[in-house]
This record gives sequence, structure tokens and C-alpha cells, in this order.
Amino acid sequence: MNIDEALPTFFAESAELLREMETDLLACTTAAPGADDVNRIFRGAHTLKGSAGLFGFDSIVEFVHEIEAFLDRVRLGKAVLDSPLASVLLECNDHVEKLLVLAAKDNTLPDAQMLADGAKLLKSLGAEPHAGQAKGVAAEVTAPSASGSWHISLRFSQEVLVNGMDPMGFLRYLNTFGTIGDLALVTDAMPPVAEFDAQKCYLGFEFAFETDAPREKIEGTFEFVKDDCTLKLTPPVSKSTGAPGAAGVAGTSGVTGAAGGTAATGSAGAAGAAGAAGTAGAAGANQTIRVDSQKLDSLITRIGELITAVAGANLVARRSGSRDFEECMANVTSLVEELREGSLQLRMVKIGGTFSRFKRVVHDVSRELGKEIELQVSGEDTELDKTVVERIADPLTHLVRNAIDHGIEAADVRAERGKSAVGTIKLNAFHDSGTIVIEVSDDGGGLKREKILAKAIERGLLDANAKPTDTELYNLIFEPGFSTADAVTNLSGRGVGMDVVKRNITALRGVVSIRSVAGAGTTVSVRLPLTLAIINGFQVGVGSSIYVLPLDSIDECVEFSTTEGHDFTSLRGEVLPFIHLRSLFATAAPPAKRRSIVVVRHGGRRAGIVVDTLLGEFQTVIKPLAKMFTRVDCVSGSSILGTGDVALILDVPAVLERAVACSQAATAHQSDRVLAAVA
Amino acid sequence: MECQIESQSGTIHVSGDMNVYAASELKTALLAELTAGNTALDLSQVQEFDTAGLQLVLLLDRELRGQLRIAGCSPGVRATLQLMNFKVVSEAA
Repeated sequence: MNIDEALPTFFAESAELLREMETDLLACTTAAPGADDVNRIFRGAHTLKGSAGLFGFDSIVEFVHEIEAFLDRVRLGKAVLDSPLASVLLECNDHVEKLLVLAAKDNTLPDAQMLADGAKLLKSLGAEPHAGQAKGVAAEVTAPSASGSWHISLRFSQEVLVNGMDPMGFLRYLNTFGTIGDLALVTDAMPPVAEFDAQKCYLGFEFAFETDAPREKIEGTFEFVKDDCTLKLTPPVSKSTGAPGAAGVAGTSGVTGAAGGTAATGSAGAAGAAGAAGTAGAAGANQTIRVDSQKLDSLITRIGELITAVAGANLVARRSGSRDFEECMANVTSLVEELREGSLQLRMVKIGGTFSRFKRVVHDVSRELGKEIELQVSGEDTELDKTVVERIADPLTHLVRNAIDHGIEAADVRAERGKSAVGTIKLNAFHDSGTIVIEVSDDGGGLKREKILAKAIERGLLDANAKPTDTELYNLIFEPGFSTADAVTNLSGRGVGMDVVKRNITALRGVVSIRSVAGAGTTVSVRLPLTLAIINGFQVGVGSSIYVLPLDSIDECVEFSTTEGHDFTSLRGEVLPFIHLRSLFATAAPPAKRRSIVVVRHGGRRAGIVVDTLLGEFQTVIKPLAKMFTRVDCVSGSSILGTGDVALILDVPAVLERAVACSQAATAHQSDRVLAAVA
Repeated sequence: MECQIESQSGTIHVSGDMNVYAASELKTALLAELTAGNTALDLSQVQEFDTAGLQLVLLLDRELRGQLRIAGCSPGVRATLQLMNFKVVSEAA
């Protein structure tokens, strides 16, 4: 498992970024760029630098950093992006492209010639400031004598620094078209030293800002960090409406006009070079296409509708009695089936990408806690739906952190127990009957049964003399506010989290369970459906109603046979508890003569569902139930059949639970009766 | 540019970039220096100084109950501290 799997995406994205920057730069060679244009190019360079850094392409980072620094100077008004400089930037763009091509070849380092080329380009970027431009800035700064003073209150999200934005940079930028005064730092949010994460932003800023610029310009400054900051603007009491910075604008456009002639030829040459480099790079990068996920979603919705429509057409074909028609429809059906498979495959991504980010989490957390931990990853090629992947990352992070913090013991304790000093966290993923199972395991101390029991009794979750099974007991740690940690650490132990983990997983129609061996470690398994949209369904009938079971959860179908009054049958010598779908849903119609048992399996348990008729396999488009029905047990969704009828999709885990519970209750009840008879 | 610190007779000398990339390591290192009894901070060799860097200075100052002395500033740091309306700047060598 390594980060290399994300590399194709990096190269594809970088090529795209370079193309966008190129387009913007080409525009700059013909007309003076607006603040927006510069910002856009800056943002491109910034993103490129960030992601190159992530992959450790230092040569690219160093080079792009200089470009970024130059663009920042432009943003601050300390340099002007005129057309000769834009051409230089275009050449820089090409240079980055060459560096990328090199990086793609097993991270080859640039040779001396290329380094020299790069240095030369950068040197021309660091060119002395333009005379006209310096005058412009001076004019702007001295202008706002008649203007009023805004009061600005700025708060940033803690992640703003990690997201690559520097709040101070925005203040410096504000200073280019106004004057910041009476600044007060708000430091209340700074946590105690132990919790202080130096990469988070805890500062708030309150200041007066004197400027002529309109509100839009001030707000526009923070457009980059819209999502990461709260900006409150209080306008000055009296605000002059003088023409802002007219001198500056005039100065800039004059310079551009003079240089326009040379620019045309320069940019044409650069564009040609870029094109050539582009085709060379394309061979490697074009193997993946990035598609707007909304397009994909709408495609899958359409295919869902197509499946329903084909089911309807099939019905008509059968009724018409025309063999040719039926044959055609069979063809169409199998094609649609392939189409469905294919389109769902589009949404499938390997879980490896998610796993690899845990390397970082493990690294950081273990360093923070002073524990040595090795991360072992397996099953990273297991695929699952993209929406599921996105939503499972947070709960998994939590589980991993928990495992490191609570699971793995301190080194001295480990040594005492005869374990190696290095703790192991394992991440594993595999497919199991239509679901994906993700396991987070540690070789730590395991759950402490007595402690959990005591805590549960203390919190009134269990009776004082209750004898819960291990599974029942371990499930309690998913209760809100449940923590047995002796000390609350920075990471976990506050009892917040495991309940959130469970809620998130349940929201994905998933199940989470825990196995633990005292002294040997804990394994948390998360079981999730592969996709949220379409399933292979097996239709069964009871009376006049039709129900759908996910095909993947079905083991087999057998003829119904049992001793009168029993809630279980013998399946090749093994006890199989079953439940009558008829009584579960209180269907009024009398039972059919020949009934069948559908044997379903989930999480290692089996049970039978007694139905009247077996209707066979159909593709089923899941329509979520309306909010009103979310509390209905044993039903996970609904589907519209080709006939237009509604079929309910059974929630197999819930039905199974009930079948097992029923049969246990029945056995208890029966022994009561026997006792009564004896008495 | 890598960030390095060393201390000499009560003053912690920081050189390099005091930015978000270096912040986590710097925090640990600087706090250790503080515990070792150093109460002044020399920032005259600091190149990049961003919000994360500023925050660290504030943290150190808070740890010393406002007794942190700034023994020197690079022009960049000085500009930033001035922008932030700091009074300590006057002490800069």
C-alpha cells in the first residue's frame, strides 16, 4: 500500500491546472489582468505546489514556490503582471510540465541543464519592480484621506492553515488598498499548551480599516477563504464615494499597452512549446478521466429508471405471447444488466486511497502519544461505492485513533506482557455476501470486560446482576457518553465518538461489531453495503404482496417443512430458526399450499424466511422510504416493479434478528407449557 | 528553508521559516527551550513568518505570563508584528 495509487490523479490534475493557468496567462499577454485573473493563476500555482509537496516532488515544489511568490507580489501590488512577464510565466509553466514528465518517470530528478533553465526563468521573474507600478501603489496608499473607517471582525476556522491559507496574508493584502489600524488579536480560542496544535489557527482579528474601496472589494479579498472564515463588516459612519485609485489603474494599463507588440510573438512561441510538451505528457496522464460526480449520479438514476421500464416492457412481452418479442426483450434485458453493472462500476473506487491516508494519522497520533506503531494494510484493492468511501473515512479515522490511544498499551506494559515494543494496527477490507467488511484491529490490551460491565451498571444501562454476552457488552461502548478510559487524553476518552461512529455507519445501512480478546487485542468490523443505489433483488410473494430480498444475502431456497408448532426446522441436520413473513407483516390472505423457506445469511448467522411463492431474481432500484416510515422495522426501502406496484425491500439483518429472537422466545414459552402440564 | 533553533544565555535564536510547515516541531522545541529557562526570543534570522509562527510567539508569551522578550526581529517579522499592533517591537535590537 502506498501513496503511488493517487499518482495518476495527481498528474491528471496537475496537467489540468497547468492548462488553466496557461489559458489565463495567455489572456494576460493581450490585456492587463484583473485582480480575479491574478487570483486564479495564484490559486492554480498554490494548489500545484501543495499537491506536489504531498508526493514529495521537491524540485517541482521549489520551482512553483517561486512562481507563487511572484504572483503573491503581484497580488500585493509590488509587481505588475505585464505581458513580457506573462510570457516568462508561460515558459515557467512549460518548465513545470517538463518537471512533471520527469517526475512521472519514477521521480527522475532534473539534470543540470534543466535546473539552469529553471533558475534563469526564475531570475527573469524576480525582475526589478516597474517604475509605473510603484507610482500606482503610492497613489493608492495616500488616497484615502477622505474615506471613513470600517470595522472588520475576522474569525478563521481552525483548519485554515492546513488548507494552505495564511490569515496574515489577507491582512497584508488589505493593507495594499487601505490602512489597518487599532488591530486587536483575539486569542481566547487558544487552548492550553497540551492541546495546542501548532498547525491550527486559533486567532481572531478585530481592526479598523481605512479605505476608499467599496464593500465588494473588501469582501472579495476573503473570497479564497470563504469557507474557512467568518467576516463581519461594519461600514464607516460616513463613506465617501470618490473614484478609487484612478492613478494606479492608469499607470498599469500604460505599461501593458507599450509592451503589447512584443507579447504577441512571445506568447505564440510559448503556446507552441506547451502544446508539444502537452502531447508528450498526455500519453501517461490520459488513462483516467475525471468526471463530475453529478453527471455520474444522474446517469445512474437514469439507468435505475431504465431497469424499471425494461421490467415493465418484459411484462408486456410476456402477456403478448409473441415469442419474437420476448426474445428481443431478453436481449435488451441482458444488455441493460451489463449496463447497470458497468455504470455502478464507474462509481466504485478502491478503498486503498482511504487506507493510505491513515498512514499519516497513525504517524501523527503515535508520535503525539509516544507509542511506536506499525500500520499493516491489506485488501486495499477492495472496491466500494464512492459515496460510501467518502462517508466512511471519518468514522474509520476515529476507530484508528481509538485503537492507538486505548488499544495499544504503553511500551513498558507491552514489554511486561511479553509483546514486541512496536504495536500493530491492521486495516483490512474484503467482500462478503454483497457487503464490504472493513476491519480495524490492534494487538493491544483488549476490552476490559469487568470495567465495561461496572460502567454500564453505574450508568444504569444494565441491571446490577445482568449477565450479558460479550457481544452485548461490547456493543455498549457505542452508547453515547460511554467511556471507560482512566484518563481523558487529547485524542479520546471523553466518550464522544463511538456513538457518532455507530450513527454514521448505521446511516450508510451498515453494521459495526467488536471482537476482543483480553490481553491480545481488539477488532472492530464495519460491514457496509457495496452501493446505495441498485441491488440484485430476489422477489418473493406472500398473499398478494411482493417483497424483495437482496440476492447476495440469500444462501438457498428449500421447501417448507417443519413439525407443527415449531419455529425452526432442520436444514441438513442443522437447526434453522425461521420466521413467517405472513405473520411478520400480518398478511390476511390464507397461506398457500406449498410454501418455501428462503435461507438468508448475515454476519455469520443464518435464518429462514417462510414465503408463499418464489418469484425469482430481478434488478431492484432502491427508493428510500419516506421519513414517515423510517422507524418501520424490517424494511430497508422500497422499489417500484415493472407493473407499477410497490414492493418492500426487506432489511435482512433486522429480520434475522427477529427470527432468532422469536425462536428463542418460543422455546422458552414451550418449556413453560410443559411445566404447566406436569403441574 | 528549514527552521533551526538554538539557545544562548537565556535567548532562543530562531532562524529559517517560522511557518505552518515547521510549526508542530517548533512548538515542541520552543517549549522545551522555555522549560530550560530561556525567556527571550531572537527572530532576527527568521525569513517566512506566518500566522502559525505568530501564534507560537503568542503561545510562548502566554506560557511566560506575558514576560516573553523579543530580542530581535527580521524586517519581515517586524512588519508583521507592527501590523498586529504589538508594543514589544520597540524592544527590538
